[in-house]
Amino acid sequence: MSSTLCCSFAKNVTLRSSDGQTFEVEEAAAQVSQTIKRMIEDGCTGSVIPVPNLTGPVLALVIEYFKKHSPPSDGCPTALLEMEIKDWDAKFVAVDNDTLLDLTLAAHYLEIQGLLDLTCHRVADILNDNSVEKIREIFHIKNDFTPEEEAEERSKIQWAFE
Amino acid sequence: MDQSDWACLPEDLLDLILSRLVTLSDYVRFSTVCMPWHTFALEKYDGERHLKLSTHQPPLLFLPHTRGSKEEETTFIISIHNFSKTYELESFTPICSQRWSGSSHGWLISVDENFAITLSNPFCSKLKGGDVGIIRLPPVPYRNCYCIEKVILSANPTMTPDDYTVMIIFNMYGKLAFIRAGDKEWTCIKKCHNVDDVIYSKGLFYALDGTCSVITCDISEHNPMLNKVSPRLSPNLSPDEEVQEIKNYIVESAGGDLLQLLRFMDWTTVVHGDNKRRIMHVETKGFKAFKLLFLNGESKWVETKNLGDGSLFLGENNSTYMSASDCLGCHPNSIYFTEYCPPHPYFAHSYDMGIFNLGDGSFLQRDCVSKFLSSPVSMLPPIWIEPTFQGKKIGGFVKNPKL
Repeated sequence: MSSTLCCSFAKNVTLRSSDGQTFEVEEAAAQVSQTIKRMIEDGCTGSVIPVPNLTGPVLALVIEYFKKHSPPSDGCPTALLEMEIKDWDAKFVAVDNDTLLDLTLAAHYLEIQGLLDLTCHRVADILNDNSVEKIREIFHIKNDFTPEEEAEERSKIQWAFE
Repeated sequence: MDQSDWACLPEDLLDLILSRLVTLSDYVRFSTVCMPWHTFALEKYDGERHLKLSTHQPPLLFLPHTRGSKEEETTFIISIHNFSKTYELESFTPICSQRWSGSSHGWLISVDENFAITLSNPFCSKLKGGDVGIIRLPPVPYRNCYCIEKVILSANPTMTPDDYTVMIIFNMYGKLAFIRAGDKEWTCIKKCHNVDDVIYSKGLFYALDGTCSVITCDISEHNPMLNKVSPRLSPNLSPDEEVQEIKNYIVESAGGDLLQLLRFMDWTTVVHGDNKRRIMHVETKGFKAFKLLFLNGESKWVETKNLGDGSLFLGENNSTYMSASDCLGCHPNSIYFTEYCPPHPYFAHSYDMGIFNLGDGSFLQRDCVSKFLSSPVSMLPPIWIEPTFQGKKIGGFVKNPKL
């Protein structure tokens, strides 16, 4: 009996983004974030949990991730489910680079290990596949070497460049 | 324009990203994107990452090439995960005129007609001038030296300039001799003959002698200590294999197992060039792998067709084992080989190379080099080389290590 009760009345928490948007989410799902988990354990969940580092749209995305990754109610994830989540993850981080940056920083701030692995892996893939110029272009990084410094770096290890 | 937020990522995030880069060239490109990444990559490199990168680099194929009609040697390197792409090493001209006698820890080793051995590092820039990245060793004085078959290093002289040993297999009897950093002369190791291959691991040299047994050689004492650690290998050969030439290699797997590889080759005499010179043409037919197992206190060679995740790199280079999962695009259970070309005037190099699948006996990329080369080809054969990176010391700052 008690387990039925627990499932039908899952406890919710409310998260508030930096721009004041609020989102209601199951407490178990929100605890995918170690940061939020600690706040709940410390009893800071009176009414609303502030998430001041994330804007509304980013928080909405992160909550999607929470929902997908919240522990299953029957406690044992099947292989099929794991496959499905893997596919979902891959699609989830196939985003534009501004969003990828937002998600990476959010995963870092909220201590979401799975999401952090996912985004860092995606960034590493981009670094693997592209030339230095292309990497700068993709991430809007300004080349802050002087021409002399850059030429020197390159001459040392020219073989590494495409 | 302010710098992008990507450039200013928190250090622990940069660290997570950096730890997912596998090859040295990725690492180097990362460090050249912007100043903050550069500073971070070099600081990290000097720390714990150093070891990981310096031991897990997939070898590159080093391919000297004579361009045009001039005697102008240029060098290409090819990374194994993309055989269709070459990189040119503009600042490096091979100083060797005949053949390599090895490559080890990122250094190429050549021997001149007086048996003077030179180590050169193509990954050190020459732009700063001088003999950067070149180490000249005293000539090997043994009378009747005839040839130096192979040279390996115990460590990278750039990293430990005062603590490395050069080991050679020399003369027609396959003898061993070594010289340590700081030694004035070579020391010959007696009682070890017909050595086919030698590797170094954790303080010991492992030599494969004429009976296909493994002898360990401890040179930490004044008198080198030899110890036989395996029985002789007597493989069952098919009639075809019986008539083929065999070359043996020794490799240590990532898990610390000793492997012995037999390479089967056809040697045929062909008439070459306008002067109708007769030369030996070598074609590799296959490999067999044996693992040294310890059972009930006895050691035994057992043939295996499964090296698991292992990719072996064999040829004139220091025989190397890599875990395929650590190298992008590397085939597991495969042997990456370059030609076998004994130091004898009858042998001309033949670009006999490729990737051998130990599981099903098939070959891949047998003609990978001919794609890049138009004649005339180089006098020097291709060789595997492990790229090295010296962090803050890179490029021009490698002082001539003592020797």
